[in-house]
Amino acid sequence: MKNFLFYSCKKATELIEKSKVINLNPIEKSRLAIHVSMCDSCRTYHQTSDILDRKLSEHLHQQTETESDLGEKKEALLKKLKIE
Amino acid sequence: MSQPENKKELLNTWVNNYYGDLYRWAKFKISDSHLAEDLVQEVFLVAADNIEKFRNQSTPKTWLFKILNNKLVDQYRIKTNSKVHPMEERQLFELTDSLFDKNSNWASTSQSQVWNQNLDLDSELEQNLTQCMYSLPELWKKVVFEKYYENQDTDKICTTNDLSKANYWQIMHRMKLFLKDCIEKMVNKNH
Repeated sequence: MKNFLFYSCKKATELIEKSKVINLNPIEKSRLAIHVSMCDSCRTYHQTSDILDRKLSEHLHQQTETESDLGEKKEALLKKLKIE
Repeated sequence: MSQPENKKELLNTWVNNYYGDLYRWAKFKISDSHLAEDLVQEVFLVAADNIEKFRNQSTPKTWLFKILNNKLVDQYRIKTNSKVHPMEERQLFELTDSLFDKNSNWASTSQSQVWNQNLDLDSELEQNLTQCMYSLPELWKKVVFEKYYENQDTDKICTTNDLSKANYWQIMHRMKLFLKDCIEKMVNKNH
């Protein structure tokens, strides 16, 4: 793995994240593919990264209130502000 | 702005325009809807008392968020007996560096079962995710919120937070390394 041709795991996992932001160039792409094909841990990292993406958006959206809930809260606040 | 009617009208507009954003942000930061509601209410009470001080030097939204963020910091101080603290960016880089050996390959190659989607570990995963998120540096939490909750595109997130694209994917990289490690440790502790 020390060969200049090959990415380290740290670099490979960074490139996995980079590829989610911009397109990798062909050299990066093939070097990453070679690394991942030989490295179980980085393959797992890629899956974990996808799971985290999914969980983070689900998790944050679960916390969402419906618009009508928010409307009620707004009304209560407006009432309170008028009394003050 | 000294006339009471004018003040009422202004507050009314602010509540209508910014309540949702303030509330969602507070709830995201403290994961407690009742407390979030109370805090946002306090924000508007403070705003009502100090409305003369607001002289359009900033946008109302910025001003209200500033008040809210002060409240959130106070809230955080009250809860300091909690075991988890937001970390500095530098700490997080060090911690995630330590997951790799001197050749920058994984220090440990043992695989955690928590990521095995065939096992039904979702509720455990989510609970630990919430806890681990607390430790993220404030800027990173903001980026997470904008990306995953508000679905803002990368360009916008980078501009508002003064980040290059490279900064952005490095944050994503380190954030995921950290969350992966943190969740795995919590799961190990509970078994």
